[in-house]
Amino acid sequence: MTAVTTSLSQILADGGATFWLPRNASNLAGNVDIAFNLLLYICTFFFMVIVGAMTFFIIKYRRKTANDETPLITHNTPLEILWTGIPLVLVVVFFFIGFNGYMDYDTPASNAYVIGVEGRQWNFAFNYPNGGTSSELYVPINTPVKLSMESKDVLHAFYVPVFRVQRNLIPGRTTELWFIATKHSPLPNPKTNDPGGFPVFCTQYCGDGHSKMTTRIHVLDMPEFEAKLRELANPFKEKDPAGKEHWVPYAKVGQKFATSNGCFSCHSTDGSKGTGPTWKDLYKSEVEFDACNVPGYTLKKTDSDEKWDAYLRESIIDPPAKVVHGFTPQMQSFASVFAGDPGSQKDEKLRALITYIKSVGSDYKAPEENPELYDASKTKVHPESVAGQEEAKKLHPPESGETGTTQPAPETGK
Amino acid sequence: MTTITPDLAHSGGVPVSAGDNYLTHGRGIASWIFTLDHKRIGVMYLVSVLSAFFLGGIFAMVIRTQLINPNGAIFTDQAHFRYYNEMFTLHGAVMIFLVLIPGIPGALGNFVLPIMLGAKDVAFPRLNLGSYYLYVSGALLAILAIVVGGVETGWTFYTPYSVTTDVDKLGLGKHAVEFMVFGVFLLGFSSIFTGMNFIVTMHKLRPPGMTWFRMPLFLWAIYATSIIQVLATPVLGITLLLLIAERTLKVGIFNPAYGGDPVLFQHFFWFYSHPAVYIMILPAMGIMSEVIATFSRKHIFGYKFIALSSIAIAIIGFLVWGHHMFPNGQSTMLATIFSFLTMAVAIPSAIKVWNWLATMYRGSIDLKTPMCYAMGFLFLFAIGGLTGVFLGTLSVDVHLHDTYFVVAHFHYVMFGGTMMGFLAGIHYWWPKITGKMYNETLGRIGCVLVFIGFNLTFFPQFIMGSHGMPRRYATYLPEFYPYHIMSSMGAYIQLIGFLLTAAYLVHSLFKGPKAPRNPWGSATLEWVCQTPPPHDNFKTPPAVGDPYDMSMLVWDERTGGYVRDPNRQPQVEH
Repeated sequence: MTAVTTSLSQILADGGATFWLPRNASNLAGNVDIAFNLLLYICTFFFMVIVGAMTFFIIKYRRKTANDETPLITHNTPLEILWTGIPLVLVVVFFFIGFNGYMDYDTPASNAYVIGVEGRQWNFAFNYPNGGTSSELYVPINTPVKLSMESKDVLHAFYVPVFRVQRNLIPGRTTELWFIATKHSPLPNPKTNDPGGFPVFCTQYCGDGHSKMTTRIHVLDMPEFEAKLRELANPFKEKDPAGKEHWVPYAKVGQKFATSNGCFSCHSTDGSKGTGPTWKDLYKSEVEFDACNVPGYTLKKTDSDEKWDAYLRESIIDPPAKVVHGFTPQMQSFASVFAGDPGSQKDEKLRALITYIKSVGSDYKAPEENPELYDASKTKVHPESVAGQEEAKKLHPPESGETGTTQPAPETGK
Repeated sequence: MTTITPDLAHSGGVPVSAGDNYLTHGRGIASWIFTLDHKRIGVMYLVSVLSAFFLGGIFAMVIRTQLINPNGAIFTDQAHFRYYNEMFTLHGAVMIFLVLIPGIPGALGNFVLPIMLGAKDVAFPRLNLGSYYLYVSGALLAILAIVVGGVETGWTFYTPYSVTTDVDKLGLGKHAVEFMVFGVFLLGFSSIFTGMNFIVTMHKLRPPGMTWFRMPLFLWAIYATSIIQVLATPVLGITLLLLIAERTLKVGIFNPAYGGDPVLFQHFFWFYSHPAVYIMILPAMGIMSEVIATFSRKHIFGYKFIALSSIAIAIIGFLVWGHHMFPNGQSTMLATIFSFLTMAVAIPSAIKVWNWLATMYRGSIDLKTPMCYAMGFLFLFAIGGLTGVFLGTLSVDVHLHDTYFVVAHFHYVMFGGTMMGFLAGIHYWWPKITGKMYNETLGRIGCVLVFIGFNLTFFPQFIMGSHGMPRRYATYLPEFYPYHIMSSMGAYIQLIGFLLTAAYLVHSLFKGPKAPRNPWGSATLEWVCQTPPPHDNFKTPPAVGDPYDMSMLVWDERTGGYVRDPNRQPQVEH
């Protein structure tokens, strides 16, 4: 009980975790915590009254003989009115407090920075206005952020306990969730395997991998956030510790995309069976199909590189076209991420991903460096990111100050 | 008022079950499976419901065992999480559709309603038997679904997941969801027919003198329940048929891929399933009124407030379904209205609690097993009800929605309320139903074990829920480990409590002492009736007095029960 009684003061003092609530790290959390604690105190009081009266009566009026005489008290109207009225007044108060907080939650700041969220079985993918994508969310501190969310398959929900917000992702609709992160998130610590950030959960049941549909949200200072965004937008280039930029091998870029698109939630790289076939030694293996869009189609060890490339490409863009024996067509199309004209950024991403898939296992040696070096600055940017940028510009004109610089160009050439 | 003079009460303790009773009235299997006797149908329901409870309990134990380890103790990789998902789906579906909804009305309601009313049977005995067989058919279809492939949609069958899952499986397995959904459809009709039957019975078969306000409060509760069953269940039925149509014919209703709207399903589903919560809890509240008055040996306080609050709950309960969808894509306006109405439905429940407490005030309280369960109900339902206010508060729900806080809340209401009430009712009417007394000491120990185990299981779930632990997770982050361990330990304690309860109840059937006509000193009509009741309950319509006027009943040492003292006058004149 001590923990209960001290929780409110702790929250007001430092926003740390309490007996009842996790730490509080957004602009919307304060209202929720005050409402929660008020409810906690008042409900605890009424619980004490009920159980106290019950216990007192059990002891004081315990049966003495089988034929005890008891007074005839059938009703008391003023008492009934009193104990109807008091709870009624209280719940009306709770209603208004909750309503107030809900309106804040439901009304995004007009200058919010927009980040796209795609939910799929079973991962979240985040699309930033500059074309960068990631599987963990990065947001700037003390800046209104609005998540524009859609689901590619079934219902999901995006829930951040420390922000006290959640909202469903509904296929066929766009839903919005906004917040201002007010605290830095813990930094990742590779030594202890600590992923850093605040936890994010999918709370709407979505199938086998529901409990693995979690990610982290990293709250960064604006300069770090901008740097992160530049890095995410150009996965083909990397800076070494000396600050010199160099090209990243395609297989390694592909691995990044596989991570950021949640491929590993279904496909393993160690040969273990998941929801989808493992990638280990997949390339140039013998594959049997349960369902296939081309009659008589087979895929063998001895088939050409081109045929294998075409197969892998199709399996990402149109997964149900060919279903490997022993699996069900669970996977949704990744066309929105990877389908593009030859030479476009999306197509290059797909090539990188396929190069990576081929490299998992021993038969294929990925070339260390691709001869046709791809330069992101010369290509078209992500069409969605153009739309996102325009929307963000509309909501938040660049001249208004610091958040204007949070939308760096896809290639800054620094 | 004329006197209630059961002949045996005057004869000073002749063994009460000397004559023919409903158990001995006909012999052989056929006399049971074709019976039209509401008491035998009630007993068949009781056996079926308790079997389903056992099954649902096994699923619960698998769930709690899985969660002993953060990475899963039984199903450890994603390829096997499906089986965990099946477990929580089946636990929910079995407990709700096969235990909580039909439990009290089907088993105890069927047995005692006509006798309490002073009638010979329900209004439509054949329909009553039909309801039972619809229940059995629904249950068998659900079991078929489990056998052919399992169902892992969650008991809520949310679209579009429920429309798309498993449709590409081979053989009967791809129809598992259809079997389960159609089973639930049949169970819905069982529920509708039972409700209709009870409404007509209470309107038409009340004997002379049984006015509406002389009906025991259990009957008022069943009446309110029946109204909800008849009005809300058809919506579930049609929704489930649409779901089947969408799965098999690919008609676009709920699946956006075919042009449907998944949120529409949630509206339809909760339009039934929230009132269904009151189908579950109201009969238990009715039992509370009977048990608390009897074991306080005092007239119920605020009879009309309790009776009418049941009706108020039934009506307002229809208008709160949207509180299941605050962050799920319903409009702000709707969310606001539903939050307000949700707050309003808390009031009649609070009224009942205060009236029960006032009934105990200056009573003569005897903590027999049914009363122990009733006190457990008060304690647990208080927590369940008050945490409901947290979830009705909009901004707080946005944080707590679909976390273990919700899981804990509805278990406190459904288990702490309905099951504790059901268990109180089973123990209260057990002597009347079976003609045997159970071991009182073991009864109390069982109750305490279940109570402690329950709190240990579900109280930590409030804390982990408010810290953000989501529902329906097969694995979880290590920070939630201590709460899950406590929760699982509590589940094992409950298991021991229930095994003990089952053991002494079964034992009492064979070795229990004969039950007297009125072991607890209650004034309602079923205790005027012989134990066990004869085939047609009453030869002539019984004289009806105040159902809570216990002052004329005195303890009779020779029968071990209460008998009417002809020298005492009723306290209450109607």
